[in-house]
Amino acid sequence: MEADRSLRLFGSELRTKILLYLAMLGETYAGELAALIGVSRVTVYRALGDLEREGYVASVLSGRERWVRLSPRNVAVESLSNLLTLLAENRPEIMATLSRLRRRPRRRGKKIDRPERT
Amino acid sequence: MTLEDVCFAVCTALDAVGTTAVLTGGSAATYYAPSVYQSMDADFVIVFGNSELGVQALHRIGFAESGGIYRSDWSPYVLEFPVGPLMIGREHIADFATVRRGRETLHVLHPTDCVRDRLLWYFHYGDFSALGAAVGVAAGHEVDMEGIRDWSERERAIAKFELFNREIARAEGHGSKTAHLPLA
Repeated sequence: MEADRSLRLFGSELRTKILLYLAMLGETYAGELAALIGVSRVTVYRALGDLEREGYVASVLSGRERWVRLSPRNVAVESLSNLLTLLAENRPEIMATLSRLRRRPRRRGKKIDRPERT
Repeated sequence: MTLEDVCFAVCTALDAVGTTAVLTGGSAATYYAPSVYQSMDADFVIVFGNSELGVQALHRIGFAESGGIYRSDWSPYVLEFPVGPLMIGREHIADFATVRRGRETLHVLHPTDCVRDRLLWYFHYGDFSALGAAVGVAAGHEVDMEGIRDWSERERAIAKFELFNREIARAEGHGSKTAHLPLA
């Protein structure tokens, strides 16, 4: 039950998960968050809009993608980031989802590396 | 047939014609931590030798090139030869491990360099699968953690190093070399 409460720390499970992934990834975008959390892009966009208005998140348009991060203008950004990192590290499902995230470039035609499932 | 078997066969064939190829990238992590991270290709950097003789040696053991990737009928793994020199980020790597298995030879990054190689992708791309591989290697092998810490500081990634360090502790604390990260 304790663990479930921590996922509502920022108002809802979705908002908290977005912030947890932001703290772990540094910078990400709605499509990646949607894939990690398992919800639609639209749902993520909506939550990100709220989090940005509330000062938790900042975004910048780069090419056709809007990149988001914890807002550097939030006075508590460092403490917030530390808290979120601690929470994320102690949620095995968050870390397991992240462990499947490959961001390094892959050459065209190469087979896909896969972590061994034991 | 494991990736390790293929790497030994390839490296030995190249060695026989005077070509030194060093296993690097994710395949080096698979060599050190096969239960944690499985690469589907072997990346070798040629550090010494004649490339034409090397290609002939690869042909003799059944590998043929197509689009820069070497494939064979007998290996489920493909080979790639990224352009050298052997580097981690902007740092040249002059020293590597040479492992013997019977009559076979394998040149491979030292575990510490293998960890640094994986961590670079985590530090600069936020690639958590590479972090998992680094944790797997570091948890199962002797690595220079102080050196990795200093290097992480130079890479301006000390907070990420601390997470890496905590993940190793978790892996060891759980009696597993995998912690949560590579258990995905």
